[in-house]
Amino acid sequence: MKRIFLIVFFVLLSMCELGFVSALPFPVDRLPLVLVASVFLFQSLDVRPAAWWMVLHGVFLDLLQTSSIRFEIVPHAVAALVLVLASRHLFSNRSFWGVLGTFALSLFALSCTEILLSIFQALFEDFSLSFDVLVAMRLWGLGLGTLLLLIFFPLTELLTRAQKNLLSF
Amino acid sequence: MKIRPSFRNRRPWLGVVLFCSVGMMLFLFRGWTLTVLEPMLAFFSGAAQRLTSELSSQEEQTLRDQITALSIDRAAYLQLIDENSTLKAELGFQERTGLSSIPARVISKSLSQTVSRFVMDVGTKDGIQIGDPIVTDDGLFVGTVRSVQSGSSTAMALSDPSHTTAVSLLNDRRTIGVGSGTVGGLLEIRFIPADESIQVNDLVVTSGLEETVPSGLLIGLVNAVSQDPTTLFLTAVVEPLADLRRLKSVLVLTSEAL
Repeated sequence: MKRIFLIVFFVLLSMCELGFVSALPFPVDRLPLVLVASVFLFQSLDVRPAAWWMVLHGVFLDLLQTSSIRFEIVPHAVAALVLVLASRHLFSNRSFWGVLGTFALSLFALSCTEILLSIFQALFEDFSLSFDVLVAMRLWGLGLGTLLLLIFFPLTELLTRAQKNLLSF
Repeated sequence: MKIRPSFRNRRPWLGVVLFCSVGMMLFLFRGWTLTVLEPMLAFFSGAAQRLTSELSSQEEQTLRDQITALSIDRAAYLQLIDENSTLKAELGFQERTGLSSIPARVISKSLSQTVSRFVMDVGTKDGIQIGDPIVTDDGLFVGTVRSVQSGSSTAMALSDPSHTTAVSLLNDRRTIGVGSGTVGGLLEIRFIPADESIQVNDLVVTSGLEETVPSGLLIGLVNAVSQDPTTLFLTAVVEPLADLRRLKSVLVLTSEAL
């Protein structure tokens, strides 16, 4: 039951980013909702499947083909790996800065892998990606994600209790 | 730092295998997956649009609508300017030559090293016949009609390797010959007697020796002249003046005009 709930929650979250957030006016459309939610749930609430959400989000992006980069699953898998490693070995899960550090590092890994993939893609096909645009998009994402984490981090205790009650059945 | 149980006593590979299977299933049944996801995306997207329109003021919405309407008007205006100048050029050619013609729009092109053809939006119902010559708005000869349907026709450009044109050079002796298309959009006039005096930049026009093509239609300029040492003939390479890649509208000279 818990797994089904997490899958449904992830699908709704992913669709919310792809359908709702992306249709909002600039700069709100730059918010990496799934990444923020994954980092927060994985690190603060210890919801381990949240790391897989990143990879599945990459699968959804590849399925819908809305991204200019092919194989979005790769940067998202790298970001998920960085998320797991950073939350386990680098940053504490008790301070806001720890969660923010994990988020920033995962976002950095995601951006770097996307840039590498786009360079690789440009070698084989007529493809150009503006690095300025990508960097600006990620900086807005960092800012907006930080804001979202600032809102949700104080509610960690409350959410932990709610999570226990919700997933106890 | 809060200590968490290690992954070592778990089976992470099982998760990887499970994930890969799910991923493959999603891609294998992409159509079904998208059928499930699309209503959700539409719902969220619709919600965002409703929210955005709620947040944006009425004045902003009105201004946006005005920008859209003005953009459409401007596009139509620019098209009318273009159409007006084309019609003026066509009228000028008709008045200058006295030939009657049917204006046509080029609706499709197939231009490559080995083929130079284009499709026009006029056909038998407009009086077009196979072999009718085609000129640009300025009167530059571009080719002849190859096949005709009811509402459209296909033309073979003079640079098509399988197209031949009876040509005449505007030099001292008015040299005549047969120009055939070559690769690269050029024309080649072969078997010109070696005693003819042909210079680079000599003008090339139609000779009028073909039944359907009138004389004097400008084709292009001589680009190079060469002689095969084993024969007594010259070969002239002609560069057509009409740029097929930019061709948008043409005039088809009808048989009654000839």
